[in-house]
Amino acid sequence: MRDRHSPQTYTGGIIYSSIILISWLAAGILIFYVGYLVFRGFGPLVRFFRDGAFAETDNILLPLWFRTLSLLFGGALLALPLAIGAGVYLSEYARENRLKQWMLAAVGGLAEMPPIVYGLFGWGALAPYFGEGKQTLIFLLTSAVWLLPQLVSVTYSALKEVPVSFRRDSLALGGSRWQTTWGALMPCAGRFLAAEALGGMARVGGETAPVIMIAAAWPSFHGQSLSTLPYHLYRSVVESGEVASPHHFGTALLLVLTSVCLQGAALRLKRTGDSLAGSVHERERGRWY
Amino acid sequence: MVLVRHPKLVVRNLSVYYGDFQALSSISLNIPSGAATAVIGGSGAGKSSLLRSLCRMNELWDNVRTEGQVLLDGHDIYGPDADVTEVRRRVGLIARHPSPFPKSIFENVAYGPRLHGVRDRRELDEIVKRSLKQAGLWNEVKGRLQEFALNLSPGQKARLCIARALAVQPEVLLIDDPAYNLDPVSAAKIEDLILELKQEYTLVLATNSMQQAGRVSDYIAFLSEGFLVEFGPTSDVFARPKDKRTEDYITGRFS
Ligand SMILES: Nc1ncnc2c1ncn2[C@@H]1O[C@H](COP(=O)(O)OP(=O)(O)OP(=O)(O)O)[C@@H](O)[C@H]1O
Ligand SMILES: [Mg+2]
Repeated sequence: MRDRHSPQTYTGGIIYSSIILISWLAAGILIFYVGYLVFRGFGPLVRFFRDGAFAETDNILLPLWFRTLSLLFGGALLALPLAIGAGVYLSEYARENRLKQWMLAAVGGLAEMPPIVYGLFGWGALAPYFGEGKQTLIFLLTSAVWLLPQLVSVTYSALKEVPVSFRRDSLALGGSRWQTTWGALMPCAGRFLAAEALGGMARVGGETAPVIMIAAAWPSFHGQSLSTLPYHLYRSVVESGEVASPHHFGTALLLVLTSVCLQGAALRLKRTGDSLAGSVHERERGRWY
Repeated sequence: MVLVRHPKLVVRNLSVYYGDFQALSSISLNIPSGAATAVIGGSGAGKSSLLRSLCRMNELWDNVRTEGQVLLDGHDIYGPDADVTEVRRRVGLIARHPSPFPKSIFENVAYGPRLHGVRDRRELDEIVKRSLKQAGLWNEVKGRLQEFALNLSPGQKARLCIARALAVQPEVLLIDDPAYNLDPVSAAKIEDLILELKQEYTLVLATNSMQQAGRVSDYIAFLSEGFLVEFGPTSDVFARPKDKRTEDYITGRFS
């Protein structure tokens, strides 16, 4: 039994309950915010999917949504092969030395870079090179370059996360490094990798900074051909001058739902991956014996 | 040196270093074919290091240096023309913690043969069945080969890992700490299995249990701090240990 009169437990109890209170408060604010969004946005969104368009704006939210998703998946598909190659090299082939440490640090640093920097890359390097009319390609390449370091470091840590015994046993059976990577490690690491790729896409998809930067390359350009959901939301809010229209709430809700779905899929993949790796008797990280 | 008539593995002046630390000091040893040799010694004596260097698994670390020779049927496995994947196929290593891959029972056993190019489903079926039988697991799992291997009991997992190693048709089996962490009944099954396997394969077992070595081995190699202190037929080592350290170990007086 807990001694309610002991001063230590007493202050402990106060701290404990205030932590609980604060976390519920934070959760409450979030729930209220999402609830408000659903309340304001659900009607317009349903009307939109039913009638094909919003009454007040003749906009094309569905194509926009598809474009956003295909840009995201396109960027991820462009980045993945390179990222997997580099991550596998760093984890399975590179020797432990200065160069490797340096490369890992560089990749980690790039992955943490604020998104506007990648926008700057699209604006400063890709836009002048490809010229106007290639906005989609520029955005694809920008998001691929942006996802690349994230996915490299994810591949690397996913491979390191696999219980060492899989690598050891596959090699001991006479497998080559290549066979071991694909036959024993990737089936396990692949889930983490796919999960992180989805999470990365959710981040990239919700970001406006790079699109704004790329659009800035052409002052006359209204961003129509590379509009993504968040960018569209930003522009229509700026241009309409209204405080908040149903259209905005509908768009915002669609954005939130897309992000939640991507993150949810990521979480699911991660959970099954965890239960796979976790069911190994002993994880023996870093030990071969 | 003890006369071994048909050595399967000849170890000559084998030294293993991890960075600056010398884990094995110039070991020379003939490992007889078709018999079980137990490598015994306390924790950190270098048993696992010796086993790993018999199948070139030590070189997976970047800081390892191996000197000397290991001849498999007369050919140096560290020689310039040695094929490391072929060496590892012929000399199988079963590590201390047997952990199957997170796949089905069937896929676990078929993994090795697939690595070496067996594609034919019927052939794979044959190999899986034969290997599971050899490992004494067939009767327990025959109806449920597609089940997830990690749901097996620890003792079954240990035998599954032996079956997985047998599936690539090795000539030598190195077993690090057989029956480690197993209940007495499962451990006894593994020991029975070892007695059977040594009819067909050259076995090398690392263990720190004298009792286990006495029950299953024909030869004993006693290691202490990286040195080979004594090697000989098990009965001789038990009856007349030549070295004081071996005697202490046998009688349970550890220094
Ligand atoms: N990868 C490694 N890097 C550095 N030192 C190592 C490495 N592997 C083993 N050692 C050291 O080499 C020595 C021998 O280790 P080894 O694992 O061969 O002993 P062992 O006889 O198998 O012991 P145990 O009975 O505990 O398994 C130990 O001192 C150990 O710390
Ligand atoms: Mg050991």
